[in-house]
Amino acid sequence: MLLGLSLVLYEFRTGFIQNSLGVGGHVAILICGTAFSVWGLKEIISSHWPRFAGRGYHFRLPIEGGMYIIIMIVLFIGSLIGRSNPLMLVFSLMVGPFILNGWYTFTMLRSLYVRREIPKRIMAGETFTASIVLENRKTWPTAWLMNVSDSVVHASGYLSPEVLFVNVPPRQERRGHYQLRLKKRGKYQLGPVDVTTRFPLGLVERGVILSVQDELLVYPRTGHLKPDWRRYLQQSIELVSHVRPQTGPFNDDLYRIREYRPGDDPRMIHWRTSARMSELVVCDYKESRDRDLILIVDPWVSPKASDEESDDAERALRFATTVCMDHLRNSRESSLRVTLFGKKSVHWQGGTGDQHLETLLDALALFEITNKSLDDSLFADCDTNGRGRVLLITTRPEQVSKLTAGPDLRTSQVQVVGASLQSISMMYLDDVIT
Amino acid sequence: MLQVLQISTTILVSFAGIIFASAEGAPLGAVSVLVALFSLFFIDWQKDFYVTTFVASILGFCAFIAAGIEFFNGEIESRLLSGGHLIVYLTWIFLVQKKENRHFWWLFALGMLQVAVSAVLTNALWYGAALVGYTFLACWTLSVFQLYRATNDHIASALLTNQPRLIVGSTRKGLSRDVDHNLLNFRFFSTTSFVYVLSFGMAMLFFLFTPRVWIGQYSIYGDSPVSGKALTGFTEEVRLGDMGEILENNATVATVELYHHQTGIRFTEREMLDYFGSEPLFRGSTQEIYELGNWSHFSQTNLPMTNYSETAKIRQQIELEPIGIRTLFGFGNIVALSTQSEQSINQQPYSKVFSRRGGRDSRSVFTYEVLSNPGKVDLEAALERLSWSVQQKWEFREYLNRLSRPRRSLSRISELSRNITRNSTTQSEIASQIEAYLRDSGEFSYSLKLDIQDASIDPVEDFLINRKQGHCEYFASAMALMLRGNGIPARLVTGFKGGVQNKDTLTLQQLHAHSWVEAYIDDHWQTFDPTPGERNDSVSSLEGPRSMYVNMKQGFLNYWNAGINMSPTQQKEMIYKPVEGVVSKVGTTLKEVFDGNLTSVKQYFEFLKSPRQWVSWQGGVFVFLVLLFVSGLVWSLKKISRLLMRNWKRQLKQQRTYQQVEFYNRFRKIMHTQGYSQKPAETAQEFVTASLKTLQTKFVEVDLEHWPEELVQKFYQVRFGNQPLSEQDAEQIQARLTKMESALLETK
Repeated sequence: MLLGLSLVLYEFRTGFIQNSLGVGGHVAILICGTAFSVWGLKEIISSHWPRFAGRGYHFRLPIEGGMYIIIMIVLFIGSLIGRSNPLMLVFSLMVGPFILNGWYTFTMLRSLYVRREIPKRIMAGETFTASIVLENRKTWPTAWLMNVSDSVVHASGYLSPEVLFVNVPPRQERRGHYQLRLKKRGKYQLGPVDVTTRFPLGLVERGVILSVQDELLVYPRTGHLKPDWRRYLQQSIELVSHVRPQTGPFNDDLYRIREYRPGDDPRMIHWRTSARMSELVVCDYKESRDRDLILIVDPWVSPKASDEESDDAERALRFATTVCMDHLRNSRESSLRVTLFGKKSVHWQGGTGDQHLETLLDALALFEITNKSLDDSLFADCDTNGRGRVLLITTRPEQVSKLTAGPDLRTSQVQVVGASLQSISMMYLDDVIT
Repeated sequence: MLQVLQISTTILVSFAGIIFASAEGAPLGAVSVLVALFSLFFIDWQKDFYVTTFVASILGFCAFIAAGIEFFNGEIESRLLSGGHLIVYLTWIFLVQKKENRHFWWLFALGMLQVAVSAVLTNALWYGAALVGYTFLACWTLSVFQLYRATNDHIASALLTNQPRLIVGSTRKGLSRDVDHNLLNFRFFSTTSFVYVLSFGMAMLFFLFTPRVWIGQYSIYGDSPVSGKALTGFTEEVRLGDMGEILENNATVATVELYHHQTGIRFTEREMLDYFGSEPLFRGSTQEIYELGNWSHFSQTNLPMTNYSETAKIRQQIELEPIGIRTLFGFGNIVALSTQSEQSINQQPYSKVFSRRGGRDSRSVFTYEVLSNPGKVDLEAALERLSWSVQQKWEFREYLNRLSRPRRSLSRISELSRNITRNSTTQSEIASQIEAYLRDSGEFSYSLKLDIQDASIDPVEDFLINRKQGHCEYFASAMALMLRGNGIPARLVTGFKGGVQNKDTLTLQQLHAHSWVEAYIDDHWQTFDPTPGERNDSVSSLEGPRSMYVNMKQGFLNYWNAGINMSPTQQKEMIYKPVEGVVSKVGTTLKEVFDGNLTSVKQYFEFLKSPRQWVSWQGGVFVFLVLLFVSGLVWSLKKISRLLMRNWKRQLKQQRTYQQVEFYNRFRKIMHTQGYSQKPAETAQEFVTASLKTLQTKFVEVDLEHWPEELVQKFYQVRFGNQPLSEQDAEQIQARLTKMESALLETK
């Protein structure tokens, strides 16, 4: 822009070109200067205020282009100082491809459309594939070497996965894929997409930003519950007084029916089925020790949280997710209630089985960690009527234990599990994402 | 694809080396071909050997030292060559390394620089052709490089990589290519070719229109200022080598007719031949100051030409073509010059150089008259010198002193000159001896080749001692400097020798350009022409009828010379003024058309009626403009029709959705005032049913209990059943709506 303005001002002030080359030269230099100025101004505006930049075209000079320009400038000045037309010719033969490179990249970027195909939800740490479809709606030319750079934005960072489309012929589309593995739970905003190219000579890079927006929900990563967790759970069951459901003989649940084996109790034979199948079939019972579970998650961090505290809070959520999934998949009769204690507390009540698991995982993915102080509302949902157990996963076990140690019967049955690595490592193996 | 890139780069580097070697006239640049081939076979393909970065750095350091020694030990041209040699050394160093992306890019840049240095060393036609080929090859190589780099980078970096700053995850880049497609297919080749052709066109426009606003007064070959403007063979500056291409050019420079001045009768063919002889010398400019291959003119006061027409016997009427110079030419013992043009004619007293001054530089022919008498060249001027004032005589003596002083740096020329003329006693004998040595001894031959053998010494020394072949500029320069070596004042004269005589008219062409020597001996300027007779044979061979190939070559040569020798004045005349003229003419025509005057338009139609004009450049421009106009028209029509169609569809949609169901819109507005708005997913029926749950009592009060349902049915009929409302129905609905509105407002 400055170059253009200088040219125009110099010519207006001195009339140098007009004197040298006449009115034609004067007009040509004014047109060139004005064009340079306007173009420069447009680039400045589009870089600082992208919303004014129309469809989002942008320009970048790669290092090769910079070197190329330096060589051109040297040759141009050399030709003027040395009065050398051959050198001026070499300069011109360098300028031509440079300008054409800029124009061709711009032409290729016109009428390009992008769409993205991704799963709606994934688990943190899982690698998944996103498909990008690039459509060239022009009648001419082929779009060559289009680098589609996607943006994946999360509250705590971002990623820029890329796909290179070697060529997309006119009125056709091509599909490309990139793989992504996201570490953090939460909502990710995908888009906009930046399509750039340097073809054919690589001297100028032009791009266009296309608004292709999508959302992706990433669930907390689940870990593995160790045998100690089972033992811990058994102990807790023994501690809790409960009423067994009268759902089968011997107070156990029907597990399966199977063929009779020698040694089976004859009383276990299911005669009706045996008659139907013409062989002896016995009912197999399994003692059910699954009980309703109330899970309270308190992933608290102090106002000036350290990384360690944040890790503990996230671990609490991962552990809670693992426990929830384990419970809903393995406990057929018992229900699950979850309270997430945070900025905006979440209360989730599912039935038996994992049919409502998605809503719980959505809540866990979007849950915002709190730094608010402890109060009774933490235990508002912990009344089990003696039918289940209450598990509280917290990052502040000492403070919570003081509350549960009180005379309140409601809180006395709450089992508190600390979320620190030390407290939890015996029961839970965190699947760390590398 | 890597192999194609390697081969393309090898060819590109080799081509650049050959161009540089040809321009320099030395084999150093051509060695790049061997190094490039060695690199291709043994480093790129066999991978037997390569130079490490450390060794390459040492080699680079050595290259800088070698080039530095060459730079500080040589003269200006040698310094330039040292830069070129450094580029060649660096090219070799990059070639022998294991190649990564940056090496390919550096080889491209260094190749381009070699070609640029070559541009300074030569301006021959072959260079232009080589430049066209090189730029195509460069475009192709860069395109292949870009394709290779983009795809290769993606494959190389397509691993799951953690990005430290971006802690939210990791990515694997993707690459989309048609698996059954060869990347370097016809589509790629055609795209590259297309880009090249357009680039070339753009480059030519840039070359023609870039203002030749030369910075300062410096020549690329010297650090001394030059005072001239145009770079042609006849200006106030001569650079050895410039005239090479001009000597192959048969473009007309001037036509000469002779008249008896007293009677005005035209010379017959015989009289003309008698007066001119076989090889007339048309004197133009003189060059007095010599430095490192450059001759320049001694600056003198310009005096207005006075008319001595009474004393002159012969009148040479010369029509000078617009070749962008102000110098005027004349033959023989010139008395005076005159012209009927608005421009005046000046003369320089000591050099007797005539030039035109004032007025506008015209693209038309300049006609002037040279009045002369029979006799030797300096006869009239010698008489004039006798009448000079003391100051003029003193200045002239100083002028001569300057022309007789040999330069110290040219001691080898002076020594050679003295050796040749050691047996001669008079200045006249010395001059003849030197002329004979150069012209007749057989040691020197005439050639248009301009190769330099030893760039570290002066070009004339190189000519006299090493090369011993050249064209007239070299012979004349050598003689002038040799005369000065003997203390004889001498100057170089540029002009024309010979011409094509057609009956009583003599035509001078560019190929008749010539240089010779004037030496001041015995108080007279005497003319010496040391160029061997082969020059005349060469010129004669060019004058005759030619084959189509030669004509074509000549055509290219003319364009090449016009471009390569273009001065600011010529650019103004050849490029800017015609464009200005065309624009002005178009403007005038348009103005006339607007004023109702169709004369110009008729002229254009007349022009179109002539088939001869169809294949002229005007025809080409016309076709181009018509095609441009038609394409623009088609494009605009498509855009406009698309816009109109979109607009029409929008209006249609609006009509369907709003105008035809105006009554329903009014109903919705009334309901909106009561806080009931139709949701986007709600049908009209659902909306009415939902709102009636609470407003039913109000409707009952005003006796409109079931009317909303009826309204919805009417709406459906109009909106989807394509059954417009009757006038009676419309009035009834409007009345009920008003009733409903007032009832609800009262409630509110």
